[in-house]
Amino acid sequence: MKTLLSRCAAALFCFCLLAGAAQAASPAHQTLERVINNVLNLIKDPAYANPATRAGQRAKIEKEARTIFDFGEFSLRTVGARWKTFSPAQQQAFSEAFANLLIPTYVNKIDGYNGEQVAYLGEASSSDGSKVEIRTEVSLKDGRKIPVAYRMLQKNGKWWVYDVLVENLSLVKNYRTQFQDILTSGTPDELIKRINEKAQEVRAQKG
Amino acid sequence: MTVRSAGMASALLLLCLLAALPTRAAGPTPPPAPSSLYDAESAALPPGAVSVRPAASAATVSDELDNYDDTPVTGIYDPLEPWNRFWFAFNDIFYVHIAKPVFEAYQKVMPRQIREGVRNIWDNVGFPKRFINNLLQGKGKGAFVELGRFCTNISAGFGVMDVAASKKVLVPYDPSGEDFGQTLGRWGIGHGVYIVWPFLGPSSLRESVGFAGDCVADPFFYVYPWELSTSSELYLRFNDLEGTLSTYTSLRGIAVDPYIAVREAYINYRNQQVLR
Repeated sequence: MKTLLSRCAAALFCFCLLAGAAQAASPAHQTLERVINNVLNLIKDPAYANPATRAGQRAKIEKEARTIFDFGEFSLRTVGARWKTFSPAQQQAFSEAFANLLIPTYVNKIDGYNGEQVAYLGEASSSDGSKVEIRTEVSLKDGRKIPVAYRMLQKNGKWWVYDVLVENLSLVKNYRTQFQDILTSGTPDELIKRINEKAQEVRAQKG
Repeated sequence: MTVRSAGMASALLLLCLLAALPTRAAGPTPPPAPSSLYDAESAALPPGAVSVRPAASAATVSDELDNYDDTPVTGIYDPLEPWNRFWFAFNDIFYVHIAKPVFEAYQKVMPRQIREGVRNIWDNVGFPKRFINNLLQGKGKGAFVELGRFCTNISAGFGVMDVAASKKVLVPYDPSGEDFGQTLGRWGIGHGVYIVWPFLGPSSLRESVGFAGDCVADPFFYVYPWELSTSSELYLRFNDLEGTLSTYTSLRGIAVDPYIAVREAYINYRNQQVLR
């Protein structure tokens, strides 16, 4: 009887260990969650509510976003096959313009933040484990839940976000269609100019 | 006598339904399922459908899914583009400069509770459409859930409260529901060409046929006089504008070419809904 009990206890212990291992977040998840928590803390900070110090807080959020979003990868994927026809200078200008568009968009989005919750639903990885999709759900104040997934890949031992899916709509894919259309009738320089114009417009929306 | 027995029968039916909708189980609730889940036991998906396994454990995603640099963009056929762009620009002015300010004023004047009550009435008005289309797609469980929600909300919620929202359901409940456009998609019919309608916005040939079909399942279609039905319908749609307006303005705000961005987002969203 005693041995049976101890065996049961041992089995239970092993099971708990396994369950614990399954629950532990992957490195990609940990990286993402750390950055999201940092950004949420920056917004909750009273310095953010104060108009005088808000610009500084926004700059900090931008810096935080740049530590996880790989804009080179974003650019390459949105332009697609035509990326090779861009000169190195054009590639550089494009990446910078695109980052200048995406970051303020992201910051403006979280600007209206008031107590939304981010829940981590799980993740899926590619068969070779080089790419991971982290699925989250943002609960808004009015009870609506918006699924947001982050696609990440590993570069130089660090995990980077290369695409964001809001309501299953891929940001990269959506921009890709727009850019292909523009590139069919225009030059890369024209596209870069249009992105820069849009970035300025987004920045002007909220200072 | 007949009235009484009908009343008895409906009360019995209601009791059965309430018994079938168990209240939330005590103890820790399981983690919420990802939204990309669909009922695995529902009718077969069209060929080419991408299925997603529950994300609680590490599942694999095929690499083709996230390598956009070598997969061609498959958009919708858009031969009417110049014409569509004209109506897109027209709608843009209408949404941003008329609908949005009017709706924001309405939000300020009308208390949130009333707006939510009206939204729940609108939800109940859409019940026949969602119920019929669940049946047309062979989703028996989905139809049953819709029926249960409708009966609960009409009786216990007097039509204005969403009582059923707190009840556990048989299959994951998608608040946007089924419509005839999705049914046609499920039957394997493609979008055809992209169409932008004045005021209504993005659509396609298939979705336009679907919209016409849904009108027949709309109780207001049978209300006389037409002034009453049209104005009620318009008001209920206006009250429900919040989500649409915020989605549109945020998409428009970040897009380099808003016309293409909205077109792709709309088609992608509808395709996702068909798969659900």
